[in-house]
Amino acid sequence: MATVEHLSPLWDAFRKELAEVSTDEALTDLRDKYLSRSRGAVTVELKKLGQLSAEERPQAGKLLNELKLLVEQALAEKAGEIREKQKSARYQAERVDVTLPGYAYHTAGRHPIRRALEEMERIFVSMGFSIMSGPEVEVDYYNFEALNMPKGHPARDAQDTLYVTDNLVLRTHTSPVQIRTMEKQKPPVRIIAPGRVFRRDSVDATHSPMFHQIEGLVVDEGITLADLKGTIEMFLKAFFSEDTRIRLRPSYFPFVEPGAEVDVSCIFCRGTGCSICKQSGWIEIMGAGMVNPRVFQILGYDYEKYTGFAWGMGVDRIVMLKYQVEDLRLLFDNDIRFLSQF
Amino acid sequence: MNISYNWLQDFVDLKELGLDPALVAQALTSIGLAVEGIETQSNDYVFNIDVTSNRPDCLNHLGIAREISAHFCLNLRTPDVSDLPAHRPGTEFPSSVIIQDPDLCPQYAARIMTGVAVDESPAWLKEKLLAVGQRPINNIVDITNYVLLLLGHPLHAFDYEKLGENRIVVRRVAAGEKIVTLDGVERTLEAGMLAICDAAIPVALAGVMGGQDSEISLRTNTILLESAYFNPKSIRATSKSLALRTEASYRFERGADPEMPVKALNLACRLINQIAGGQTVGPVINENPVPASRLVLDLREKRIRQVVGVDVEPGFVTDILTRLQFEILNQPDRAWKVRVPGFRVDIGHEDDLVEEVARHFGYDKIPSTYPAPTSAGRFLPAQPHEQLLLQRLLGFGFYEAVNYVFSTPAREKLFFPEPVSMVAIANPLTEEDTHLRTSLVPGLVASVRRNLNHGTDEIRLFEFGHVFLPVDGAGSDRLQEESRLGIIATGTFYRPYWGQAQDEFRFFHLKGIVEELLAGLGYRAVFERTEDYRFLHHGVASRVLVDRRPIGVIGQLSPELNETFKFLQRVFVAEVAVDNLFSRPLPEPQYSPLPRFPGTERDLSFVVDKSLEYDRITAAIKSLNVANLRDVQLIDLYQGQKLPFGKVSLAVRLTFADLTRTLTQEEVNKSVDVISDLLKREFQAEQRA
Repeated sequence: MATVEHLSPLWDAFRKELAEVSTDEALTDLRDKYLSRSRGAVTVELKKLGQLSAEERPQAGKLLNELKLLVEQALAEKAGEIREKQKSARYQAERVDVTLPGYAYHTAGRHPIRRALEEMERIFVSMGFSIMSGPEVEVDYYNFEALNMPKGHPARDAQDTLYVTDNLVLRTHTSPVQIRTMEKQKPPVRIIAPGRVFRRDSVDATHSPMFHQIEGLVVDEGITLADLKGTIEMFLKAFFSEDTRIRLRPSYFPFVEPGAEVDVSCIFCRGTGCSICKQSGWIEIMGAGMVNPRVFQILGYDYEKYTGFAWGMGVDRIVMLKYQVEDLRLLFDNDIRFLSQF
Repeated sequence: MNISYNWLQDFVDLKELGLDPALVAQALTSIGLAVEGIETQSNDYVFNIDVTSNRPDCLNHLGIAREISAHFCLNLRTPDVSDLPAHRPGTEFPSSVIIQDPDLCPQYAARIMTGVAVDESPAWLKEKLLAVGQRPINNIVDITNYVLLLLGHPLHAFDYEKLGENRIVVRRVAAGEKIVTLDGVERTLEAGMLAICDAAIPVALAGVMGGQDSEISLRTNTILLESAYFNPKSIRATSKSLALRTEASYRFERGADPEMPVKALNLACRLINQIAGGQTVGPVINENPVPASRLVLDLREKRIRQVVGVDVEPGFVTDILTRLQFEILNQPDRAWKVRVPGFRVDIGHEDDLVEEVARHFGYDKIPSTYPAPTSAGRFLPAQPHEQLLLQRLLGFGFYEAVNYVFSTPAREKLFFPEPVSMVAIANPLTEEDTHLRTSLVPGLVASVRRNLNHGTDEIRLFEFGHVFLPVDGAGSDRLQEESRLGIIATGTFYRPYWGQAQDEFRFFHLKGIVEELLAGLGYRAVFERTEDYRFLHHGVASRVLVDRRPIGVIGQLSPELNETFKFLQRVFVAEVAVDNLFSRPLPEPQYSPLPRFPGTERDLSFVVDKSLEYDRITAAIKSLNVANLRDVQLIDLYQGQKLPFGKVSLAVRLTFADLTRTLTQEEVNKSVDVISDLLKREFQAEQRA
């Protein structure tokens, strides 16, 4: 008879057995024992319903269906529990020590000179400058003569030169690229010339017979010293920082007139004075000026119509300043302990 | 140049107007006379001024005082340089000056003084000299130095009695003439150098240094005082050629004031009379075959605006030019016609006057304007190529090396067969820098050596750089400058690491890198064994070819060089000429539709002669034009005890695919058989299971 009193032991027995179950197999067995079509305990009770009278049947049927539902729910819950346990056992088994070092995928960093040059080139190209290049062994004419430094000119002393022949030199600056460009191209000219340059200097912490320069040249109608100031300022702010200030001091380079030395506010102390700027608040960064009309004359440019400005700066020194590298030789020593820091 | 603050006050009032040394230094720097330091002395301040080579007029106190007076609008006091009348007639001590080479000596002024008491200088004079670092010697020499530091004009005093026939001849010397200069060095002169001579021999190197024989001594009674103007280029050439640089040569080679000789002489005579009791004998001897002329220039207001970019008050322009002692001849419409003073050797063009105005106007008052570009900026045509290679090499873990371009025949001959043809430097500074490199390899090998010395044994470096190849032999003006890429690697490829076997860097690693670099540029590289390179192991060396042209070389460093450089590990190196490779634009990517049907892979193992080059096998397979064969990949290579002597076992993976359908097993089998038959026929390959 399917009464509460009758079914209650069945439920209790099921719960007791369910608590013991921990594997998929045991769970299947338990399901069979209670719910299998042929001989499941609950199924058997359901089959017996037919023997009951019409009055008893609805009540008993309701009770039995409730019980069946409860059993099914409990089995489903148990199945979930077992799956969770299995998953976690597998994770446990396949666990790795994530603190072990990763396999090495070693990529190299850029040489500091390349880093600086690329950054400078990127800024100037964004300002409409095109990049030009020229040979490292240069004709005297391009390196000196056309730049208003005829043979015997005292300014040649300032650039102690390595000669190949009387007529060929290892270029002492990248200025010959300016001359070569102006020979080929009529204004407007707006170029930069990065590259290696050479001096007859022995190697020490601050000198090298080979170093790097980047020079610029703008020629057009109406170009002024004020334009030089604005252009260089725009570049230096982009390269160092927006709060960089610049200062121009009159100076002399044979290929410009008027000439100037350009200082930037010290990138370390922001101009308040420190050991790097020798308490002056300023760091000398480049030479610049208006293209000397004598240079235009040599090139056959009409200097009444066109004016221009040019500047040049040493890249290696800026690298040394920026990264606080105390010895220039490190830039040419190719020591991986050094290079891997960039 | 050392400039004394106290001395400046002889010419301009500074202290009275509150112009302390710091203010003066700031002003000088702002007008282009960079004060690099101020030395504080017990009762003076000394400015160390970096005077640019175009401004010899500022290599003295009066010149600096002139700039200060112009900047601060101060009155400038000038010393008395008027003629000192003769105390005694010229007949007492006759002399003469003959200029034989007026092109090198346009003017030579001299005066005889007698009764000179050579002695210590008075305190005020010694103090002035010492303040600026000049050692006092005796009153006569000190006075010439004093005049030099005051007016910038070099003088020289001879002992009159020591001059042969007591006279002066200014001439070019003949080769081999000799002089012992004041520094005690006997110098053999080159033909064409200008000397001050007596009747017979040189007694001074004109404008550079006096001679010992005619030097002023304590016994000197009569002197001949020289004040001349010499051609700057001649002085520079002599000074350079003798490696003798003096205060005098420094000024003459930059350009002395051609109007100064007699003035400087007069000032010196006055001082010698005052201090040493010397009496002038006869008038000033003044030989001046080529009189100096002053340049006249026009300065237009509109040119100032055109160059500087600002409007400067015309009154300011007039004022500053006047204070700088330019003579304003007249002022036509919005312009100035000016006569340039003799001491301003740097002024030769209107724009030089523009600079005078600009620097005194103040560079800091010039606004910053920006000229807009008229076109987009462009990188060099070869830059994308270099960037691509650079990025890949960095990705492969290679660092960029930067080596000097210098080399020596001794170094290059370790690598290349003799005679090594190199470009020589005419004036090398050191023995390591006598020539230019012909290859990047020696520099990279040296870099490896240095890294090993530091304990770094996993080394991967590359270098982009120029090499220099002579075209017509030594001394020629023609040479070929070529851009190359050098790569060097040694040590481990995989470091010893947990769970990962260590692997040594091998030839085929480097070959793979070179292939990948060239593929990035759109080239398929071909490799050909070579024994032509002395620096490479002849068993592990290959030319690199693209489009059938050799572009470089790759291989293992030779055992001999390993020994020379004491390398205990194998070193691999490649060098490629890049100018041609970079001349073609980078390849545009070409899209092809993705296969919709899976491909089929078949592995084929076979044994062939070890001497058979793999490239021949792939070329033969390729020549069959087997339908749908997409790829042949070497997946195994075995040589050893399981094989007969001289044999090698290869396994290749063949990939077949068709874009339009799935291939049938029969088709693929047939193709594999064709290939297998070919290998058997051509190379006697024995197929393995």
